[in-house]
Parts: sequence; structure tokens; C-alpha cells
Amino acid sequence: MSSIPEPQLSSLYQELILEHYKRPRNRGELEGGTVEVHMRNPSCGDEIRLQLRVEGDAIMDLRFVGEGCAISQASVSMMTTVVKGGRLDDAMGLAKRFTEMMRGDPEAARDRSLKDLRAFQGVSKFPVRVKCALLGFDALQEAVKRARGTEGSPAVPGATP
Amino acid sequence: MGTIYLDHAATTPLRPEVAAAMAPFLQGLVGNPSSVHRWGRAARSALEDARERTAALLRVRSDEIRFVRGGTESVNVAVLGRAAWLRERGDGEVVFLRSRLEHSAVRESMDAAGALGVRSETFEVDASGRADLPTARELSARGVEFVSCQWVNQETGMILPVPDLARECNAAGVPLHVDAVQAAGRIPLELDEHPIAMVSLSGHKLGGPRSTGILVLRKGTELRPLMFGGGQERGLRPGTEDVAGAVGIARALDLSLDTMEVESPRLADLRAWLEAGLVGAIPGTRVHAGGASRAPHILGLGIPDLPMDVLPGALDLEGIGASAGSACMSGSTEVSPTLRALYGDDASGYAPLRLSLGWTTSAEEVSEALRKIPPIVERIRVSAGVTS
Repeated sequence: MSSIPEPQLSSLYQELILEHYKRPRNRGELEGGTVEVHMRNPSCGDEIRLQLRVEGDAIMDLRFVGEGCAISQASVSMMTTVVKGGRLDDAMGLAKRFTEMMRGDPEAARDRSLKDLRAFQGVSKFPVRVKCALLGFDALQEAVKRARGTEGSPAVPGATP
Repeated sequence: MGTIYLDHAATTPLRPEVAAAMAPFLQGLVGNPSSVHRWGRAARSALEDARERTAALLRVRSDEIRFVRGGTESVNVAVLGRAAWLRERGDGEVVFLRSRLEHSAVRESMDAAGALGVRSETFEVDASGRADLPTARELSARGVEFVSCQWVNQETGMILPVPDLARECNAAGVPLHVDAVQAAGRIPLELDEHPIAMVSLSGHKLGGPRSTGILVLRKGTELRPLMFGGGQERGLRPGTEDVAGAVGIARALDLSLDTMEVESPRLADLRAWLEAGLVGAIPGTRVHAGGASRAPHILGLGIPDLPMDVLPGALDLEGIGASAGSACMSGSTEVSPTLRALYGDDASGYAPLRLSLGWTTSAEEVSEALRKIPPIVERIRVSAGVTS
């Protein structure tokens, strides 16, 4: 008998996405938030409100509330676990890298700084779902800009890049 | 590790979100949707919300959704309803065409339509997934009035070339019925892109309730009702509507499609792991339709040097739920029509084993199945006097 092969990493990745969808992390209202962003994906009705508590250049805490498809909610949930406690620059870099991966950049997909978020690479093959996966990161970028005070205008609900 | 359920193509557990959505309609006073009072209107509103949600998910119009009592009923209403409609029109003998792989619901309802003047013909599909599809011209020349084809085969997971067939049927003006019971929630259906006249779906295969089904009946396709009474579901399924069932199947479809882009690749990986492990560990095993494009949740195996029908029982003794062909074939020692169509007489030399995965299947379950199944097969071979 030959030895039993191991499962491909991707099935564990997909399980991780479904796990975040079923049990979202950092979901709920944030006490003492300093920045709040509301974003919507008009094509499929996904909606999130992301709150950050920023002190200096650090994201001390963040939470989200939202409604929408499995992929949008799982992606926001996983994003919060990666950026929580980190620096604004790193959060911005992460959002850029994640967006590149979702747009099909193979270099970005190998970037270990994305951690578990690499699980979403498989979703990049489904163009209609890419926007769902990006929703939380669009909100994050907007929130970071506002925290830095470089972006004066409030986020327009429904606006997506 | 407890038991391992690998028979999700037979039926899959009810999703908890579905049970929660149905709960308000399973207790207390739920009005009859046909009643004019507030209880009736509330029930009507829940039923029509479920219909609209289902239509949006399937990308059809809400007046094209008929809620029926299961996949088999959906198929019967389509096949016999069309036969009765043609009969009433006075066409004399008509030809209905189907693939040779069809589920018994399609095969037997078409055979029963013989009493209504239907002559059944079949087209071939081989193990590589190549189908001998009729062209529009051939359909017309042969006098075909109705075609039925499954989207995903229940024993092998093979995906049949439904979009190609739909194009030919449409060009010939022949209505196509598609049994999408094993396809829904596993592969994209995109019904707005293919001219398919009728589609049958089953609720419990999606993690919804038993005895719920859908017939998608595209506008312009006429059927004669098979049952008569209060005219519900636009006359096709009379009887007081099952509001809880409609809410349940709509929610199950919603959840299945919402997670499909993640869930289908996950199951495909688990299936690939299971397949490679079992083929490697059990000498001579072949993968049914292994060279064809397949839906991710079904693994059909043929295992040589084994009595035909003992494997599911032996696996059950070790806590593993699986089946030989489709569940509807269980208990039968004959080769299933699907496997006979794909492999001819050669099929009788291989014991069929269908392992099917679903939303509760975990990597741990697959790992445990891989550890347990090969020694069970070996034991049966030894006790049957066959060593390999």
C-alpha cells in the first residue's frame, strides 16, 4: 500500500474562510472608537461599518458590523485579526498587497505578510466575488486615511474604487 | 472519531440557518396563503418572498418558480406534464429524448409517458464526458418534442454539456428539461445565460428540508397539470402551499450559492485527496468518469475483485456511511444504468462505491476514511477468497 497523501493546503484555506463566516471575529460595536467608515458594495448589497481606535500610529482596537455575503463578511473578519494592534502603515501596506492579490498578482499571493488572508487567493478566480472580498480592505484604507487626517472628505456610502 | 458520513449526494444534513428560518412557520397558527385575512396574507407574503429570493438566486423571473414536493415530483410534473400537453394538442406519437445516464425519476417518468403516446429515445455519453449530442437539425428530423438531460450525474459527478445541448434544442424549438438536483450549489447554473425551458431542483440535497423541490418553468413553456384542485402554483401543484418548506428551500439555496466559490474548491480538494489515497491504496481501483469534468462533491469508484454489493454494509459496520450507486439503487445487485452506459459489460467486473461530500465534511473525516476504507476492502477480498 502506498502512503496516504496529505490534503492540499487550499482545502484548509477554504475551511478557514467558512470558519470566519460562521464565527466572525471582532464583530460588534467599538467603545471609544476614533474613526468610523461605512462602505457598501452596490452590486450585491454587502455592507459594513468599520470602527477603529487609533492611538498615535497604532490601531489599538477595531470592530465591524455588517451584513452581506459569506465572502465579504469572512474577509472583514480575518482582516481585523491581522491588523489589530499593528501600525497604520502596515495596515495600509496589507490592504494594498491584498488588493493586488485579488487582482491576480501572483507575487502578492506569495507574500507571507498576508498571513491567513492568502486563503482568499482562490476567490480571485471569480471576478464577481472579488469586490466582496475587497470591501473590508476598502473600508480599512479609508479609515486609515481619515485617522491620519489626510483625507478631509467623509466616505460616501456606496462608493467603491 | 465517531461516524463518518460520506453520502451527501443521497441527502445532506439540514443547515441550522434553514431550521431557524423555517421555525416560525412550523408552530402556532400559520395561515393558508389563499385566505384573505391577516394570517393568510402573512403566509402569502412569506411564500412570495421565498419565491422572489429563489428567482433572484437562479436568475429567472419569480413567476417562473413553482414550489413542488421534491426533485422527483419536479421531474414528473415536467416530463408527464409535457407529454399530457402534447397529447391534448393531438400530436399522435411523439419522441422524447434523454441521456443514457439519467436518474430513475427521468427514466421512469419518460417510460410511464409511453401511455400518453411518448416513444423514448436516448443519446450516448462516454466515460470521458463526451456526449453524442443531437444537433438542431437532427432533433427536427427525428421528430423530437422534448429533451431531458441531467446537469451532474448522481453516481460519478460527471458534468454533462447542458449549455451546448440547450443551444441545439433552442435552435430546433424543442423544450429542454434539466435535472439539476446534483448540480445546484456545486457548479454555476447561470440560468439567464442558457435557453433551458425547465429545471428541477431538490431542497434536501442543498441542506434544506425533505419533500421540497422547485420546478423552474421558463415563460412560454406549456405543461398540462397532473393534479387538480385549488390551482396553487399556477395550477401545476394544487394543494395548500407548504410555507415553511418554501422558506426553507429558498434559504438553503441562498446559503449554498453564497458559499459556492469557497465550498466547491474545498470539496474538490478533499475529493482529490480521497481519490488519490484510495486509488493508491486499493489495487485496480478505477475512478468512474475520472477523465471527465466533474462536480466537486462526488467520487465514484469501481473496485475489482470484490462482491458487487457488500461494501456499503461493511463500511457501515465500521461507522462509514456510503453507497454503491445512487441511493435509489441500493439493495440492487445489478449494475446501474449509468455505469452500464459508461462502461458496458465491463461494469460488472467492478464493485461500485460512491463517496459524496457535503457542507459538514471535514478534512478529519476524509483522513479517517482514508485510514479505514482500504483495510476493509482488503478484509472482504480475503474472506471472499480473492487476494491481490
